[in-house]
Amino acid sequence: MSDDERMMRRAFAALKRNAAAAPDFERTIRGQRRIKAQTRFVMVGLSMAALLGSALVTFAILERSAESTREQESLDRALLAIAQSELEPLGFLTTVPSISFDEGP
Amino acid sequence: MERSLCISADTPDLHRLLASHHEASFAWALACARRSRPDAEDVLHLTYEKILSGAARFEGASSFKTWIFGVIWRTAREHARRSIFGRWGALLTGQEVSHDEPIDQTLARATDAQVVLAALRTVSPRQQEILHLVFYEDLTIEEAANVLRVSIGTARVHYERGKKSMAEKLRRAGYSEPEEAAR
Repeated sequence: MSDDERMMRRAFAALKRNAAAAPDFERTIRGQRRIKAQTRFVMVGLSMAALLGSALVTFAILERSAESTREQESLDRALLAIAQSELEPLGFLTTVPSISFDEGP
Repeated sequence: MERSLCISADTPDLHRLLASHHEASFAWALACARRSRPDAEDVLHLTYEKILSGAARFEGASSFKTWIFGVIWRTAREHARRSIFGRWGALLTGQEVSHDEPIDQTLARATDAQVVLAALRTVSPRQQEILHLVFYEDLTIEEAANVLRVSIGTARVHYERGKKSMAEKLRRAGYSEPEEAAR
């Protein structure tokens, strides 16, 4: 047996003498409350994350839809302005009805 | 004797065998769980659950001790993978979290066992596992390789490197030489 091995055997014997006491066998078989508490903690965490995620997705969809409506309105206004400026001097569309975008069709 | 047994999950023999290896199983679970007692208790409970429900069966291919150590080792790995919230949980509940304190600082107030533990933590996890199995549990390198599911060659390399590195750390830390060598 080498010096290293003798030292290691002695070192691990010291570790063994100071080993932590094992928990009761029957209690270990039945399981600890900690596992249940941890599972509950994880389940609550996952539910909260799912709730927050769905709220964020809904908000993003609504925001996107509002933005596209605003873009469409501004495009319509620009087209109307072009039409008025080009056609009115020629005598067309002098009675273009006023369109309110806020009220809708 | 144990090697010839092929025990089904519902036999009282299994319960008795588990009880007789309980102390050693807990020490091994502790080593696999990086010295965290709550994790070791969880790992051991999950291991017993696997065995008693028949999810893990002893077929008698190796000794019962080698077999159950293998089940504990695999369960500890699964448990570590699943514990995404493990570190947060430990912080919240104020449980022990391993820290890499320099060995010199540890020595200033350490008992023999603390010095050994500090030196053990300086080698790689795989080397820690193999050194524990050989020196603490008195398994052969072949049995340790069987528990850790590696080839004997790989186990021997981990064993030699771990042993050399840890012995060197112990010597540097002023851990006393074995009496036989001193004489």
